[in-house]
Amino acid sequence: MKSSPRKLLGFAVLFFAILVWIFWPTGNSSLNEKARSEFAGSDRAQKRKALTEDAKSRASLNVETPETVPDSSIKLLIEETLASLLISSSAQESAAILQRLRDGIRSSADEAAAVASIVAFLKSGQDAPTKLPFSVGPEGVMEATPTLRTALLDLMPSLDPTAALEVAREIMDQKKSQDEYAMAIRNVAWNDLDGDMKEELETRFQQMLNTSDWRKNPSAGFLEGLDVAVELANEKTFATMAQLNNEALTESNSTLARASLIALDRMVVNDPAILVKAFEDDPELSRLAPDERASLMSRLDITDAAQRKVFLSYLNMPSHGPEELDYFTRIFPNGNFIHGNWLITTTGPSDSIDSRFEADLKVLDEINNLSAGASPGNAAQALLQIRDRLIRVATKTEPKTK
Amino acid sequence: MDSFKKLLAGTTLMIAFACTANAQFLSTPSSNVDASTGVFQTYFITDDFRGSGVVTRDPRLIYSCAHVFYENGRWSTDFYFSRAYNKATRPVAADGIGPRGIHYFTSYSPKADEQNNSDQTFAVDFSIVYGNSNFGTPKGYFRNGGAALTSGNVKQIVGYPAIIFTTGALGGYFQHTTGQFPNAGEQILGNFYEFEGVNSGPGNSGGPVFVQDTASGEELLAGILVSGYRDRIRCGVVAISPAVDVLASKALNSVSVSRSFSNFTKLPLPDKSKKFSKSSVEVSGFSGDVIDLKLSMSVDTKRRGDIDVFLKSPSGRTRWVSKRSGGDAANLKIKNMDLTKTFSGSTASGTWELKIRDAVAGNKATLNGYSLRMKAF
Repeated sequence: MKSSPRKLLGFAVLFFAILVWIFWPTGNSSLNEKARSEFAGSDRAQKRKALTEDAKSRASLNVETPETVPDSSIKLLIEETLASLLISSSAQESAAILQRLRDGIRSSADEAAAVASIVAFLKSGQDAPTKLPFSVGPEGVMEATPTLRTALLDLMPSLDPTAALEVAREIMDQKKSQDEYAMAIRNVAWNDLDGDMKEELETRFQQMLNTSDWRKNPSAGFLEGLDVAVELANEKTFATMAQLNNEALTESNSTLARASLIALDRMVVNDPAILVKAFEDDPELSRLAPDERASLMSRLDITDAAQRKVFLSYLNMPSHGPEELDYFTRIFPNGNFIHGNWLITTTGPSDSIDSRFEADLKVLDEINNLSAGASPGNAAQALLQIRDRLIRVATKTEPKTK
Repeated sequence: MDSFKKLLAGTTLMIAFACTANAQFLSTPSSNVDASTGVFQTYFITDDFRGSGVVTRDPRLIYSCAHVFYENGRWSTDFYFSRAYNKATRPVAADGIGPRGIHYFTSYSPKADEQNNSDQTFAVDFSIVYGNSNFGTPKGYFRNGGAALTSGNVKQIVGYPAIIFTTGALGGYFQHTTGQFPNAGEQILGNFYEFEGVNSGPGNSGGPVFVQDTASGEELLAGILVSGYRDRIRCGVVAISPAVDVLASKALNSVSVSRSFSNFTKLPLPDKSKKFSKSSVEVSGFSGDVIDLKLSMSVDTKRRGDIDVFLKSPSGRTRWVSKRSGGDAANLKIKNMDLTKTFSGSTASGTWELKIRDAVAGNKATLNGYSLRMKAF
């Protein structure tokens, strides 16, 4: 077979990468220390040093390696991936390297042995950055991962959920990386069958939220991990997230404020009863800031008696300022929906155009009834504004062309 | 709203009009205005909200970017879409139609709400705006716009830039176009692509990126302009993807299809195995995502509590079916187990795998088979 120059170049690059990997200074030998000092000025040496130190710090990962003998070809593939990522010059190159790893592992003839190789690697504490973001793809499967370790954690459940759970627990106990914690807590959630993991999930989630350094500077993984709240979907978690949102706003932590509000919103869209119960417990919803409170209350369905009662109480509450009520009347009933690729949960319910139209007409009827019996005041004014807006949006209009 | 103040103040770079390295930005004569595109404008707070959009797939749907409609936890309110607007003066509410709502895409990325140029910020920056009204004649589109964006086919970006970066001129409320350019987009992450040699400017967020279809010669929508650089001739585009199509289908309440898929090849399970055995089914005939999924299966065993089973979707999402549960009872028979909560939104077509093992020594077990009853777009 004729070898093309491109193919020869490919072999040369691979050969060079293997040489780099073989002769790269590792461990504690004096030779390695010397080699490391000779490269002390280079970025690569510093990166390598940092990774080695990181590896040492992770060396206590106490996951029991499965009895299955690791697959040597997968072990070699992971090592090659590690070496390639360390010298990768771009995110695109890293993405291609990781794709080869995934393909290789998925096509392994013995997945149990492949899992053993992955566990052994994770146990070693080694890692390499990928220059890629923590990006969740459809169904919570990662589209991009920031490190080799997070990529392997992503793969594990599809090979052996039990082993993935064991590794996840060890990683969460150590709490060394936000992104790894997020992958681990996802793997705990994915292990659920009929609610058997809920208690542990709640404990682990609280442990994540309680880590103040992470809250102050949340990584993408930490923020994606807030999807656990949507999965848990209970009043206690709602209160926790409301508190988190309030603190984030107070501390001008806009990313955490935004992510926590999205989680709260999705919880309420999935189950408005959570908001009704929270309102009954604390009618001021005092943990929430005005805009956030208005945004969540705009999800109420006033054709339901319990939600209508909350709606009226909210409108009649004198403590809400005019700006909050003004924003509320401009979005109620909220027909906007947030979609995304979530770490654990799937997309919640959303309206079709026709069902929204029908719902708007029903809400309009309710608003007309409520307006008829309303005493003059802020609530009556708000009802009128809502009615006018509903009449406008529920009216079909033909476009004008200029 | 604040983002648009920033944009108009010139502190950020959003949206663009595009031009090739050799082309100058042109203001399209009104006689050539594309009737499928228009400008979003709010009337709640003066002049600080502006974006572009295109009527696509259905007269009641407008495709645009996400950052125009939601910022810092607040939804944009009281905005109107003025189709084919082409004047120097700002449109008034009577010129447009007020949409009913927004299907907004996002992620929890720390950069998701930032107004800078970042693949993390803009990778999911897409919205479908919907209404009860007819916004105009819908433009044709590529279901998988990524391939079109990276092709060498002729492209054109249209929209309503407030400022034209290359000249510094104000864009007024005229519809602008880059004119045709052949540049191939570069995939940065997922559905996010960038074009070198295509400039951007504020006010054109959500503008359509049209690509000529090789087969028909027609210009079809392939992506939505979402970002750009003030100091570089480069801009970012989110490609139209099958996921977008699914969302639009949900908004339109399009017809879904129910089908069953099964594998009844008997599979003896090795005793006391760490290794999962696989039984797969090829699911086909769907163009979109799962909206309902039920599993039925049968395993012959003297002890049900020895058996681990989970289902894996084509993308790799997993869900336990049985975790050595049932104790000493014989045989594992499951009928119509509802797995919708886990797999709703999963890509339907592809290889689904049931992975099963007999994890405990002492009893022989055989998977008799299983079936998936699936409803999907």
